[in-house]
Amino acid sequence: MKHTSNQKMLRLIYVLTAANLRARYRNTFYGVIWVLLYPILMYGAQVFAFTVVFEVKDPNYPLYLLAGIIPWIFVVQSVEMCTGVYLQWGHALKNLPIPALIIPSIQLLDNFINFFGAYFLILMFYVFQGKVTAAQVLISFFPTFSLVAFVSGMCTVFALINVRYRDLKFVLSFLFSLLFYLTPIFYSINSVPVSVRWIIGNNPFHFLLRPFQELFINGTTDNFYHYQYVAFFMAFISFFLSYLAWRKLKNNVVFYG
Amino acid sequence: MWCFMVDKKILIDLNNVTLAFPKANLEVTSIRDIFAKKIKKNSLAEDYKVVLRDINFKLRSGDRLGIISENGGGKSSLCRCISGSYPLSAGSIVRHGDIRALFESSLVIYPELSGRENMSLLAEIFYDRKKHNIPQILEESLKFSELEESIDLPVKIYSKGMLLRLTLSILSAVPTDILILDEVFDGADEFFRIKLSQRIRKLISESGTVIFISHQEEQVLDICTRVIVLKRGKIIFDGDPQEAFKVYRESRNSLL
Repeated sequence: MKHTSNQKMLRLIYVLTAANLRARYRNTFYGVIWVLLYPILMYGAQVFAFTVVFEVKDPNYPLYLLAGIIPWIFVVQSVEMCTGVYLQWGHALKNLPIPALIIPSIQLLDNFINFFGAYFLILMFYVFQGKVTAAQVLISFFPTFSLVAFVSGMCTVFALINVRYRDLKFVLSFLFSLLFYLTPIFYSINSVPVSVRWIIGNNPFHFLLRPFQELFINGTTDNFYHYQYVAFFMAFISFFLSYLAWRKLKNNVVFYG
Repeated sequence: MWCFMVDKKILIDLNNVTLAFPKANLEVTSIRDIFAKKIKKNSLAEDYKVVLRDINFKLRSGDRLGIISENGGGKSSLCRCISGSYPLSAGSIVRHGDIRALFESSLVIYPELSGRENMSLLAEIFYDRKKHNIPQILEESLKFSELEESIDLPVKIYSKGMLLRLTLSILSAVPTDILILDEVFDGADEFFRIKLSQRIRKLISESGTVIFISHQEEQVLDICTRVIVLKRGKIIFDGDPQEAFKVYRESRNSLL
Protein backbone atom coordinates (compact mmCIF):
# COMPACT_ATOMS: atom_id res chain seq x y z
CA MET A 1 0.00 0.00 0.00
CA LYS A 2 0.98 3.63 -0.39
CA HIS A 3 3.46 4.81 2.18
CA THR A 4 3.16 8.43 3.23
CA SER A 5 5.11 10.07 6.04
CA ASN A 6 3.12 11.36 9.01
CA GLN A 7 4.16 14.92 8.23
CA LYS A 8 2.95 14.64 4.63
CA MET A 9 -0.26 12.97 5.84
CA LEU A 10 -0.99 15.90 8.21
CA ARG A 11 -0.21 18.38 5.45
CA LEU A 12 -2.63 16.57 3.11
CA ILE A 13 -5.35 16.56 5.78
CA TYR A 14 -4.87 20.31 6.17
CA VAL A 15 -4.88 21.23 2.46
CA LEU A 16 -7.72 18.87 1.55
CA THR A 17 -9.91 19.98 4.47
CA ALA A 18 -9.37 23.62 3.46
CA ALA A 19 -10.22 22.75 -0.16
CA ASN A 20 -13.27 20.76 0.96
CA LEU A 21 -14.56 23.75 2.92
CA ARG A 22 -13.95 26.14 0.02
CA ALA A 23 -15.63 23.77 -2.48
CA ARG A 24 -18.67 23.33 -0.24
CA TYR A 25 -19.26 27.04 0.21
CA ARG A 26 -18.26 28.19 -3.29
CA ASN A 27 -21.21 29.40 -5.32
CA THR A 28 -23.66 28.96 -2.46
CA PHE A 29 -25.59 31.92 -1.16
CA TYR A 30 -24.07 32.85 2.20
CA GLY A 31 -22.73 29.26 2.44
CA VAL A 32 -20.68 29.60 5.64
CA ILE A 33 -23.31 31.66 7.41
CA TRP A 34 -26.04 29.14 6.57
CA VAL A 35 -23.97 26.22 7.88
CA LEU A 36 -23.41 28.11 11.15
CA LEU A 37 -27.04 29.21 11.32
CA TYR A 38 -28.50 25.73 10.80
CA PRO A 39 -27.60 24.30 14.26
CA ILE A 40 -28.35 27.64 15.92
CA LEU A 41 -31.82 27.76 14.34
CA MET A 42 -32.47 24.11 15.21
CA TYR A 43 -31.51 24.88 18.78
CA GLY A 44 -33.60 28.07 18.87
CA ALA A 45 -36.66 26.20 17.51
CA GLN A 46 -36.33 23.47 20.15
CA VAL A 47 -35.92 26.03 22.96
CA PHE A 48 -39.05 27.79 21.71
CA ALA A 49 -41.03 24.54 21.42
CA PHE A 50 -40.18 23.30 24.89
CA THR A 51 -40.03 26.50 26.94
CA VAL A 52 -42.88 28.44 25.25
CA VAL A 53 -45.18 25.80 23.73
CA PHE A 54 -44.75 23.00 26.30
CA GLU A 55 -43.98 25.51 29.09
CA VAL A 56 -41.02 23.68 30.62
CA LYS A 57 -40.31 25.84 33.67
CA ASP A 58 -36.75 24.73 34.54
CA PRO A 59 -34.52 27.81 33.95
CA ASN A 60 -31.59 25.50 33.07
CA TYR A 61 -33.54 23.71 30.35
CA PRO A 62 -32.20 25.78 27.40
CA LEU A 63 -28.66 25.04 28.56
CA TYR A 64 -29.46 21.34 29.00
CA LEU A 65 -30.86 21.29 25.47
CA LEU A 66 -27.76 23.02 24.13
CA ALA A 67 -25.49 20.40 25.73
CA GLY A 68 -27.32 17.69 23.79
CA ILE A 69 -28.67 19.08 20.55
CA ILE A 70 -25.57 20.69 19.02
CA PRO A 71 -23.29 17.64 19.62
CA TRP A 72 -26.12 15.45 18.26
CA ILE A 73 -26.35 17.54 15.08
CA PHE A 74 -22.58 17.11 14.74
CA VAL A 75 -22.95 13.30 15.05
CA VAL A 76 -25.76 13.05 12.50
CA GLN A 77 -24.13 15.40 9.98
CA SER A 78 -20.80 13.60 10.32
CA VAL A 79 -22.45 10.24 9.60
CA GLU A 80 -24.24 11.76 6.59
CA MET A 81 -21.07 13.34 5.22
CA CYS A 82 -18.64 10.50 5.90
CA THR A 83 -20.55 7.30 5.08
CA GLY A 84 -20.37 7.72 1.31
CA VAL A 85 -16.97 9.33 1.28
CA TYR A 86 -15.00 6.40 -0.18
CA LEU A 87 -17.38 6.17 -3.11
CA GLN A 88 -17.00 9.90 -3.80
CA TRP A 89 -13.21 9.65 -3.57
CA GLY A 90 -12.88 6.22 -5.24
CA HIS A 91 -11.63 7.58 -8.55
CA ALA A 92 -9.17 9.99 -6.92
CA LEU A 93 -7.81 7.28 -4.62
CA LYS A 94 -7.12 5.00 -7.62
CA ASN A 95 -5.23 7.72 -9.43
CA LEU A 96 -3.62 9.94 -6.82
CA PRO A 97 -1.10 9.17 -4.08
CA ILE A 98 -3.54 10.03 -1.27
CA PRO A 99 -3.71 7.65 1.72
CA ALA A 100 -7.29 6.35 1.94
CA LEU A 101 -7.17 6.44 5.75
CA ILE A 102 -7.28 10.25 5.86
CA ILE A 103 -10.41 10.68 3.72
CA PRO A 104 -13.05 10.32 6.49
CA SER A 105 -10.96 12.69 8.66
CA ILE A 106 -11.18 15.38 5.98
CA GLN A 107 -14.99 15.29 5.96
CA LEU A 108 -15.12 15.06 9.73
CA LEU A 109 -12.82 18.06 10.23
CA ASP A 110 -14.86 20.06 7.74
CA ASN A 111 -18.00 19.31 9.77
CA PHE A 112 -16.22 19.84 13.09
CA ILE A 113 -15.29 23.41 12.10
CA ASN A 114 -19.02 24.15 11.55
CA PHE A 115 -19.98 22.46 14.83
CA PHE A 116 -17.28 24.32 16.73
CA GLY A 117 -18.34 27.67 15.26
CA ALA A 118 -22.03 27.22 16.17
CA TYR A 119 -21.27 25.81 19.63
CA PHE A 120 -18.84 28.57 20.44
CA LEU A 121 -21.27 31.31 19.37
CA ILE A 122 -24.10 29.93 21.53
CA LEU A 123 -21.79 29.34 24.50
CA MET A 124 -20.51 32.89 24.30
CA PHE A 125 -24.13 34.08 24.52
CA TYR A 126 -24.54 32.15 27.79
CA VAL A 127 -21.14 33.30 29.09
CA PHE A 128 -22.25 36.94 28.65
CA GLN A 129 -25.51 36.09 30.40
CA GLY A 130 -23.47 34.66 33.30
CA LYS A 131 -25.03 31.19 33.01
CA VAL A 132 -21.80 29.51 31.87
CA THR A 133 -18.31 30.27 33.16
CA ALA A 134 -15.18 30.58 31.02
CA ALA A 135 -13.77 27.59 32.95
CA GLN A 136 -16.73 25.44 31.88
CA VAL A 137 -16.16 26.47 28.27
CA LEU A 138 -12.49 25.46 28.53
CA ILE A 139 -13.26 22.16 30.27
CA SER A 140 -15.79 21.33 27.53
CA PHE A 141 -12.70 20.53 25.45
CA PHE A 142 -12.67 17.04 27.09
CA PRO A 143 -16.24 16.00 26.20
CA THR A 144 -15.67 17.51 22.74
CA PHE A 145 -12.49 15.46 22.32
CA SER A 146 -14.18 12.19 23.32
CA LEU A 147 -17.15 12.95 21.06
CA VAL A 148 -14.98 13.73 18.01
CA ALA A 149 -12.77 10.69 18.62
CA PHE A 150 -15.82 8.41 18.92
CA VAL A 151 -17.47 9.85 15.81
CA SER A 152 -14.21 9.64 13.87
CA GLY A 153 -13.89 5.89 14.59
CA MET A 154 -17.58 5.26 13.92
CA CYS A 155 -17.58 7.18 10.63
CA THR A 156 -14.48 5.34 9.39
CA VAL A 157 -16.25 2.01 10.03
CA PHE A 158 -19.41 3.19 8.24
CA ALA A 159 -17.41 4.55 5.29
CA LEU A 160 -15.54 1.24 4.94
CA ILE A 161 -18.71 -0.87 5.09
CA ASN A 162 -20.51 1.44 2.65
CA VAL A 163 -17.95 0.65 -0.07
CA ARG A 164 -19.51 -2.80 -0.36
CA TYR A 165 -23.03 -2.25 0.97
CA ARG A 166 -24.01 0.95 -0.76
CA ASP A 167 -27.45 1.31 0.78
CA LEU A 168 -25.94 1.58 4.27
CA LYS A 169 -26.34 5.35 4.11
CA PHE A 170 -30.15 5.03 3.93
CA VAL A 171 -30.26 2.45 6.71
CA LEU A 172 -28.17 4.74 8.93
CA SER A 173 -30.32 7.74 8.16
CA PHE A 174 -33.35 5.78 9.42
CA LEU A 175 -31.49 4.42 12.48
CA PHE A 176 -30.24 7.83 13.56
CA SER A 177 -33.77 9.28 13.27
CA LEU A 178 -34.84 6.60 15.76
CA LEU A 179 -31.80 7.14 17.96
CA PHE A 180 -32.66 10.81 18.35
CA TYR A 181 -35.69 9.78 20.41
CA LEU A 182 -33.75 7.10 22.28
CA THR A 183 -31.03 9.54 23.39
CA PRO A 184 -31.64 11.90 26.34
CA ILE A 185 -31.35 15.15 24.41
CA PHE A 186 -34.62 16.99 25.01
CA TYR A 187 -35.52 14.93 28.08
CA SER A 188 -33.50 13.79 31.08
CA ILE A 189 -32.63 10.15 31.78
CA ASN A 190 -34.19 10.64 35.23
CA SER A 191 -37.59 11.32 33.67
CA VAL A 192 -37.56 7.96 31.84
CA PRO A 193 -39.64 5.19 33.56
CA VAL A 194 -37.34 2.80 35.42
CA SER A 195 -38.67 -0.21 33.48
CA VAL A 196 -37.25 1.10 30.16
CA ARG A 197 -34.39 3.20 31.51
CA TRP A 198 -31.85 0.48 30.67
CA ILE A 199 -32.59 0.97 26.95
CA ILE A 200 -31.86 4.68 27.07
CA GLY A 201 -29.09 4.28 29.64
CA ASN A 202 -27.10 1.86 27.49
CA ASN A 203 -27.30 3.95 24.36
CA PRO A 204 -23.65 4.87 23.55
CA PHE A 205 -24.67 8.42 22.64
CA HIS A 206 -26.06 8.92 26.11
CA PHE A 207 -22.52 8.33 27.46
CA LEU A 208 -21.04 10.77 24.96
CA LEU A 209 -23.52 13.61 25.57
CA ARG A 210 -23.84 13.17 29.33
CA PRO A 211 -20.49 14.84 30.19
CA PHE A 212 -21.63 17.97 28.28
CA GLN A 213 -24.94 17.96 30.17
CA GLU A 214 -23.28 17.37 33.55
CA LEU A 215 -20.68 20.06 32.93
CA PHE A 216 -23.08 22.83 31.91
CA ILE A 217 -25.83 22.03 34.42
CA ASN A 218 -23.95 20.82 37.52
CA GLY A 219 -20.33 21.82 36.86
CA THR A 220 -17.30 19.61 37.44
CA THR A 221 -18.92 17.22 39.91
CA ASP A 222 -17.96 13.57 40.47
CA ASN A 223 -20.73 12.67 38.05
CA PHE A 224 -19.05 14.73 35.33
CA TYR A 225 -15.72 12.94 35.84
CA HIS A 226 -17.43 9.55 35.94
CA TYR A 227 -19.24 10.09 32.65
CA GLN A 228 -16.20 11.72 31.08
CA TYR A 229 -14.12 8.61 31.81
CA VAL A 230 -16.85 6.46 30.29
CA ALA A 231 -16.91 8.76 27.22
CA PHE A 232 -13.12 8.38 26.83
CA PHE A 233 -13.52 4.62 27.07
CA MET A 234 -16.26 4.68 24.41
CA ALA A 235 -13.98 6.75 22.16
CA PHE A 236 -11.19 4.20 22.65
CA ILE A 237 -13.53 1.32 21.78
CA SER A 238 -14.72 3.15 18.67
CA PHE A 239 -11.13 3.79 17.59
CA PHE A 240 -10.18 0.18 18.20
CA LEU A 241 -13.13 -1.07 16.14
CA SER A 242 -12.22 1.29 13.33
CA TYR A 243 -8.67 -0.09 13.41
CA LEU A 244 -10.01 -3.66 13.08
CA ALA A 245 -12.39 -2.60 10.29
CA TRP A 246 -9.56 -0.79 8.48
CA ARG A 247 -7.34 -3.87 8.59
CA LYS A 248 -10.09 -6.09 7.24
CA LEU A 249 -11.73 -3.81 4.68
CA LYS A 250 -9.08 -1.33 3.48
CA ASN A 251 -8.46 -3.26 0.24
CA ASN A 252 -12.10 -2.82 -0.78
CA VAL A 253 -11.61 0.95 -0.89
CA VAL A 254 -9.25 0.97 -3.87
CA PHE A 255 -10.78 -2.04 -5.63
CA TYR A 256 -14.45 -1.14 -5.37
CA GLY A 257 -14.53 2.50 -4.22
CA MET B 1 28.60 -4.87 -20.40
CA TRP B 2 27.83 -7.33 -17.61
CA CYS B 3 29.79 -5.23 -15.09
CA PHE B 4 27.90 -2.14 -16.22
CA MET B 5 24.54 -3.87 -15.56
CA VAL B 6 25.56 -4.94 -12.08
CA ASP B 7 26.59 -1.41 -11.14
CA LYS B 8 23.15 -0.02 -12.00
CA LYS B 9 20.99 0.36 -8.93
CA ILE B 10 17.84 -1.79 -8.77
CA LEU B 11 14.90 0.58 -8.29
CA ILE B 12 12.01 -1.89 -8.51
CA ASP B 13 12.02 -5.60 -7.78
CA LEU B 14 8.83 -7.65 -8.28
CA ASN B 15 8.67 -11.19 -6.90
CA ASN B 16 5.73 -13.48 -7.77
CA VAL B 17 3.28 -10.58 -7.78
CA THR B 18 -0.30 -11.79 -7.91
CA LEU B 19 -3.47 -9.71 -7.80
CA ALA B 20 -6.97 -11.15 -7.43
CA PHE B 21 -10.38 -9.65 -6.64
CA PRO B 22 -12.96 -11.62 -4.64
CA LYS B 23 -15.91 -12.09 -7.02
CA ALA B 24 -18.42 -12.01 -4.15
CA ASN B 25 -17.56 -8.35 -3.61
CA LEU B 26 -18.55 -7.60 -7.18
CA GLU B 27 -21.88 -9.43 -6.90
CA VAL B 28 -23.14 -8.02 -3.60
CA THR B 29 -23.34 -4.25 -3.55
CA SER B 30 -26.07 -3.58 -1.00
CA ILE B 31 -27.49 -4.87 2.28
CA ARG B 32 -30.62 -5.82 0.29
CA ASP B 33 -28.50 -8.13 -1.91
CA ILE B 34 -27.44 -10.18 1.12
CA PHE B 35 -31.08 -11.02 1.85
CA ALA B 36 -31.84 -11.58 -1.83
CA LYS B 37 -28.96 -14.07 -2.10
CA LYS B 38 -30.09 -15.84 1.07
CA ILE B 39 -33.66 -16.16 -0.23
CA LYS B 40 -32.51 -17.42 -3.63
CA LYS B 41 -30.05 -19.69 -1.77
CA ASN B 42 -27.23 -18.48 -3.98
CA SER B 43 -23.93 -19.12 -2.27
CA LEU B 44 -21.45 -16.28 -2.05
CA ALA B 45 -18.56 -18.48 -3.15
CA GLU B 46 -15.12 -17.15 -2.31
CA ASP B 47 -14.21 -17.25 -5.97
CA TYR B 48 -11.53 -14.89 -7.27
CA LYS B 49 -10.96 -13.06 -10.52
CA VAL B 50 -7.20 -13.24 -11.05
CA VAL B 51 -5.86 -10.09 -12.69
CA LEU B 52 -2.09 -10.68 -12.40
CA ARG B 53 -0.28 -14.01 -11.93
CA ASP B 54 3.27 -14.54 -10.73
CA ILE B 55 4.83 -11.42 -12.18
CA ASN B 56 8.61 -11.24 -11.77
CA PHE B 57 10.98 -8.58 -13.05
CA LYS B 58 13.52 -6.01 -11.91
CA LEU B 59 13.98 -2.46 -13.10
CA ARG B 60 17.33 -0.74 -12.81
CA SER B 61 18.27 2.89 -13.01
CA GLY B 62 18.13 3.98 -16.66
CA ASP B 63 15.65 1.27 -17.72
CA ARG B 64 12.78 2.41 -19.94
CA LEU B 65 10.16 -0.33 -19.77
CA GLY B 66 7.10 -0.55 -21.99
CA ILE B 67 4.13 -2.74 -21.07
CA ILE B 68 1.74 -3.88 -23.80
CA SER B 69 -1.30 -6.15 -23.80
CA GLU B 70 -4.83 -6.33 -25.15
CA ASN B 71 -7.45 -4.29 -23.22
CA GLY B 72 -8.02 -5.76 -19.77
CA GLY B 73 -4.71 -7.63 -19.93
CA GLY B 74 -3.53 -6.20 -16.60
CA LYS B 75 -1.23 -3.30 -17.66
CA SER B 76 -2.82 -0.63 -15.49
CA SER B 77 -3.39 -3.01 -12.56
CA LEU B 78 0.30 -3.94 -12.65
CA CYS B 79 1.30 -0.27 -12.63
CA ARG B 80 -1.12 0.43 -9.76
CA CYS B 81 0.48 -2.42 -7.81
CA ILE B 82 3.94 -0.97 -8.47
CA SER B 83 2.84 2.52 -7.44
CA GLY B 84 1.33 1.11 -4.23
CA SER B 85 -2.28 2.02 -5.04
CA TYR B 86 -3.35 -1.64 -5.19
CA PRO B 87 -2.51 -4.09 -2.41
CA LEU B 88 -1.01 -7.39 -3.58
CA SER B 89 -2.79 -10.70 -3.10
CA ALA B 90 0.56 -12.51 -3.07
CA GLY B 91 4.23 -11.77 -3.72
CA SER B 92 6.21 -8.63 -2.99
CA ILE B 93 7.46 -5.43 -4.56
CA VAL B 94 10.60 -3.69 -3.34
CA ARG B 95 10.89 -0.05 -4.35
CA HIS B 96 13.92 2.19 -3.95
CA GLY B 97 13.15 5.86 -4.50
CA ASP B 98 10.21 8.18 -5.03
CA ILE B 99 7.42 7.07 -7.36
CA ARG B 100 5.24 9.31 -9.48
CA ALA B 101 2.46 7.56 -11.38
CA LEU B 102 0.21 9.22 -13.96
CA PHE B 103 -2.81 7.03 -14.65
CA GLU B 104 -5.20 9.72 -15.74
CA SER B 105 -4.42 12.67 -17.95
CA SER B 106 -7.20 14.87 -16.58
CA LEU B 107 -7.39 14.70 -12.79
CA VAL B 108 -9.83 16.92 -10.98
CA ILE B 109 -10.41 16.75 -7.26
CA TYR B 110 -12.82 19.62 -6.75
CA PRO B 111 -14.66 20.72 -9.94
CA GLU B 112 -16.14 23.73 -8.06
CA LEU B 113 -12.67 25.14 -7.36
CA SER B 114 -10.61 27.10 -9.87
CA GLY B 115 -7.86 25.71 -12.08
CA ARG B 116 -5.28 27.47 -9.90
CA GLU B 117 -6.66 25.88 -6.71
CA ASN B 118 -6.79 22.40 -8.27
CA MET B 119 -3.28 22.82 -9.68
CA SER B 120 -2.03 23.80 -6.24
CA LEU B 121 -3.73 20.73 -4.70
CA LEU B 122 -2.14 18.41 -7.25
CA ALA B 123 1.25 19.94 -6.46
CA GLU B 124 0.71 19.36 -2.73
CA ILE B 125 -0.31 15.76 -3.38
CA PHE B 126 2.45 14.81 -5.83
CA TYR B 127 5.39 16.83 -4.52
CA ASP B 128 7.18 17.01 -1.20
CA ARG B 129 7.59 20.49 0.25
CA LYS B 130 10.94 19.46 1.73
CA LYS B 131 12.39 18.41 -1.62
CA HIS B 132 10.60 20.62 -4.11
CA ASN B 133 9.96 24.32 -4.49
CA ILE B 134 6.18 24.13 -4.95
CA PRO B 135 5.51 27.83 -5.75
CA GLN B 136 8.17 27.69 -8.48
CA ILE B 137 6.71 24.44 -9.88
CA LEU B 138 3.26 26.06 -9.94
CA GLU B 139 4.48 29.17 -11.70
CA GLU B 140 6.43 27.23 -14.33
CA SER B 141 3.59 24.74 -14.89
CA LEU B 142 1.02 27.47 -15.34
CA LYS B 143 3.20 29.11 -17.96
CA PHE B 144 3.72 25.79 -19.75
CA SER B 145 -0.01 24.98 -19.74
CA GLU B 146 -0.89 28.32 -21.39
CA LEU B 147 -4.04 28.43 -19.26
CA GLU B 148 -3.30 31.86 -17.73
CA GLU B 149 -6.55 33.38 -19.01
CA SER B 150 -8.82 30.68 -17.61
CA ILE B 151 -6.83 29.59 -14.58
CA ASP B 152 -9.14 31.39 -12.10
CA LEU B 153 -12.34 29.93 -13.56
CA PRO B 154 -13.97 26.86 -11.97
CA VAL B 155 -12.58 23.63 -13.39
CA LYS B 156 -16.10 22.28 -14.00
CA ILE B 157 -16.35 24.47 -17.11
CA TYR B 158 -12.98 23.31 -18.54
CA SER B 159 -12.88 21.17 -21.67
CA LYS B 160 -11.13 17.76 -21.56
CA GLY B 161 -8.15 19.26 -23.37
CA MET B 162 -7.83 22.08 -20.80
CA LEU B 163 -7.98 19.57 -17.93
CA LEU B 164 -5.26 17.55 -19.59
CA ARG B 165 -3.06 20.64 -19.93
CA LEU B 166 -3.60 21.50 -16.27
CA THR B 167 -2.87 18.00 -14.97
CA LEU B 168 0.05 17.06 -17.16
CA SER B 169 1.77 20.43 -16.84
CA ILE B 170 1.98 20.11 -13.08
CA LEU B 171 2.80 16.41 -12.97
CA SER B 172 5.55 16.54 -15.56
CA ALA B 173 7.37 19.51 -14.03
CA VAL B 174 10.12 17.73 -12.10
CA PRO B 175 11.85 14.35 -12.68
CA THR B 176 11.57 11.53 -10.17
CA ASP B 177 13.26 8.20 -9.34
CA ILE B 178 10.48 5.95 -10.67
CA LEU B 179 8.08 7.35 -13.25
CA ILE B 180 4.95 5.50 -14.41
CA LEU B 181 3.11 6.90 -17.45
CA ASP B 182 -0.15 5.20 -18.39
CA GLU B 183 -1.40 6.43 -21.78
CA VAL B 184 -0.69 10.05 -20.92
CA PHE B 185 -0.80 11.48 -24.44
CA ASP B 186 -4.43 10.52 -25.11
CA GLY B 187 -6.79 13.46 -25.57
CA ALA B 188 -4.29 16.26 -26.19
CA ASP B 189 -4.72 18.54 -29.21
CA GLU B 190 -2.03 18.32 -31.90
CA PHE B 191 -0.13 21.48 -30.87
CA PHE B 192 -0.06 20.65 -27.16
CA ARG B 193 0.75 17.00 -27.89
CA ILE B 194 4.01 18.04 -29.60
CA LYS B 195 4.88 20.46 -26.79
CA LEU B 196 3.96 17.92 -24.12
CA SER B 197 5.81 15.15 -25.89
CA GLN B 198 9.05 17.19 -25.71
CA ARG B 199 8.49 17.87 -22.00
CA ILE B 200 7.68 14.22 -21.21
CA ARG B 201 10.77 13.06 -23.14
CA LYS B 202 12.89 15.44 -21.06
CA LEU B 203 11.19 14.12 -17.91
CA ILE B 204 11.86 10.53 -18.99
CA SER B 205 15.51 11.23 -19.75
CA GLU B 206 16.02 12.86 -16.33
CA SER B 207 14.05 10.30 -14.25
CA GLY B 208 15.64 7.17 -12.75
CA THR B 209 13.53 4.52 -14.39
CA VAL B 210 10.34 4.73 -16.46
CA ILE B 211 7.38 2.41 -17.03
CA PHE B 212 5.48 3.46 -20.13
CA ILE B 213 2.08 2.22 -21.28
CA SER B 214 0.69 3.13 -24.66
CA HIS B 215 -1.28 1.58 -27.49
CA GLN B 216 0.87 3.57 -29.94
CA GLU B 217 3.59 1.22 -31.16
CA GLU B 218 5.64 4.11 -32.50
CA GLN B 219 5.76 5.83 -29.10
CA VAL B 220 6.70 2.65 -27.26
CA LEU B 221 9.49 1.83 -29.73
CA ASP B 222 10.74 5.39 -29.55
CA ILE B 223 10.86 5.61 -25.75
CA CYS B 224 11.39 2.09 -24.40
CA THR B 225 14.55 0.00 -24.23
CA ARG B 226 12.68 -3.08 -23.05
CA VAL B 227 9.07 -4.23 -23.40
CA ILE B 228 6.95 -6.70 -21.44
CA VAL B 229 3.96 -8.38 -23.13
CA LEU B 230 1.12 -9.37 -20.82
CA LYS B 231 -1.55 -11.89 -21.70
CA ARG B 232 -4.40 -12.50 -19.24
CA GLY B 233 -2.27 -11.23 -16.40
CA LYS B 234 0.86 -13.25 -17.18
CA ILE B 235 4.14 -12.17 -18.73
CA ILE B 236 4.56 -13.95 -22.07
CA PHE B 237 7.55 -11.94 -23.23
CA ASP B 238 10.16 -9.66 -21.65
CA GLY B 239 12.92 -8.20 -23.80
CA ASP B 240 13.65 -6.39 -27.06
CA PRO B 241 10.86 -3.92 -28.05
CA GLN B 242 10.71 -4.95 -31.75
CA GLU B 243 10.53 -8.61 -30.79
CA ALA B 244 7.87 -7.81 -28.15
CA PHE B 245 5.50 -6.33 -30.73
CA LYS B 246 5.98 -9.39 -32.92
CA VAL B 247 4.99 -11.64 -29.97
CA TYR B 248 2.08 -9.33 -29.12
CA ARG B 249 0.71 -9.45 -32.69
CA GLU B 250 1.06 -13.23 -32.83
CA SER B 251 -0.73 -13.64 -29.49
CA ARG B 252 -3.56 -11.39 -30.70
CA ASN B 253 -3.88 -13.31 -33.96
CA SER B 254 -4.05 -16.58 -32.05
CA LEU B 255 -7.04 -15.18 -30.15
CA LEU B 256 -8.93 -14.39 -33.37
